[in-house]
Amino acid sequence: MRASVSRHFKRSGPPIVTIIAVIVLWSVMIDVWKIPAYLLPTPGSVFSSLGDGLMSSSLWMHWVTTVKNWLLGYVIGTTAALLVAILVVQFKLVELFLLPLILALQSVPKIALAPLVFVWIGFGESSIVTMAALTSYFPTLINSLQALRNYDSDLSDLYQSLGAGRLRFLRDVKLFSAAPQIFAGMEIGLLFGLIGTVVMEFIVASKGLGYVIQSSANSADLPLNFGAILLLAVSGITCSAILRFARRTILFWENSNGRGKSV
Amino acid sequence: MGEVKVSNSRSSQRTLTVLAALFSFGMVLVAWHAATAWFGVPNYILPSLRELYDSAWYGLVDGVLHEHIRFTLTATIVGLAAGTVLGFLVGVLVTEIPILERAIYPIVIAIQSIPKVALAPLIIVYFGFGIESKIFTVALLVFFPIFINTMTGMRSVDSEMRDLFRTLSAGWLYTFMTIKLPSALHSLFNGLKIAVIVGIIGCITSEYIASTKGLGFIIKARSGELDVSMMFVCIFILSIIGAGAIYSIEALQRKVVFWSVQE
Repeated sequence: MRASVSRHFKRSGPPIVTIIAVIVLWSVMIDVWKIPAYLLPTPGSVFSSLGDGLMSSSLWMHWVTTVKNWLLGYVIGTTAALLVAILVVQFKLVELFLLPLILALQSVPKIALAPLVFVWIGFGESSIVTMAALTSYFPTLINSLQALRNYDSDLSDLYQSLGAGRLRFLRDVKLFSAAPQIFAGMEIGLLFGLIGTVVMEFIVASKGLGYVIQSSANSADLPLNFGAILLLAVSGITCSAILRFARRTILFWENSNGRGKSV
Repeated sequence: MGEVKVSNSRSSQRTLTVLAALFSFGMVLVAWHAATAWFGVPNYILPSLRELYDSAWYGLVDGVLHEHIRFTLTATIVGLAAGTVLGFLVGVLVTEIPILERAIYPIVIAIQSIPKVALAPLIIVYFGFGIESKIFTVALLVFFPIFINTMTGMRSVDSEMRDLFRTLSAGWLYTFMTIKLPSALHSLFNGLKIAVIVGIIGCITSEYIASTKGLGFIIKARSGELDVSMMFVCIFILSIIGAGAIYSIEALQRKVVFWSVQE
């Protein structure tokens, strides 16, 4: 027990020290060089601005909006990506005719589409959800496509000789062996989704942390700007940690390094 | 005999793939034309092919877009170069000093889950509307994937090899050049592919927020006038830039790290 605690400290100790050192250095720098607040706010002013914003609930509203639109778009984009990937690997015709279009669209920088989405869909939150879905769609799709084609061909022969259907093979073998790489794609998709959400909020500019970040930068309210960025950071780190936890729980056999599926 | 047959069927397979792809792209054009010419889809949703052609001509041949293409390319390339050099140097430095590695690596991993584009408005406050803010945004976004991939590459050196070099008391530079750098290069190139994508994202986003030049600026400005055809042309150019960059990096990777590229 004690050993595990000390090991835990050994791992998380140095980064915590670093974070504290950065905050101390930050305040000392402001004191020594008299850096004005419109260039660099003190850590204290950032936290108090964050506290005020969260107390008066307006910042809460923006935060919740951003996270809600991001995750909603992410779920839509990821589901669509999985469905399309399955269609492509299950049906030869879909692969022949649809895959070239998918690959061509993949090389479009999705962020460049943001103003177009705005023209098409308009001011509302639905354009932000669309952008989040669009940015999180491709990483999952590309990874799933690659992974679903990499299965053990011996197993394919076995299933075929036993007369198992294609759907059964998909469920038992393809999805199973592709799962780690699909999850890797979903992790990238989650982050790209957040990027898409924030950039779209820059453009739509009515609600959300992206809006707060931009308007506070325009009015040189740097404590609020730093605070909103901090909230985004917390959201990003928390949600990807949750996704990684889900991965560890669902793909429990991955952890038992090399011991395979004998758990 | 058998082999000839196999290669024959493979080449006919390839012909089929190419034909299907051409057919799909042809169908998209036909559907596009049908939508705009016959079904009356308004041109602020989908411009007609004729309008697209005119915009492309106006932008590329008459040269209205030239300075914007140059602006975006310059900002992206300079930022990419700066971010790559810095990310690589800091990555090497941090892996060589164990205490730094333990203090910083976990934090950098956490920073991966933060959308760094959120800093773009702040960077504009610091550096202004000009190209400097774009270069800095690109460099900042590029820094992290390069840094992480350099560290991952350096850490993946075969430990027996490292022990061997230590027993033979090889110097730091010699060890670095013979085993560490070659092992880091493969991972560095993979980082570069991510870096190009996030670098373009950074440049476009910064141009959306405040700029007087650049393809991102044009896309955003044209969206206000519902000039969707010019937006399409700019998005297309950005796609070509992105795909071209990825393609050149992969070609370079095959040349430089020829020993570790799997087909």
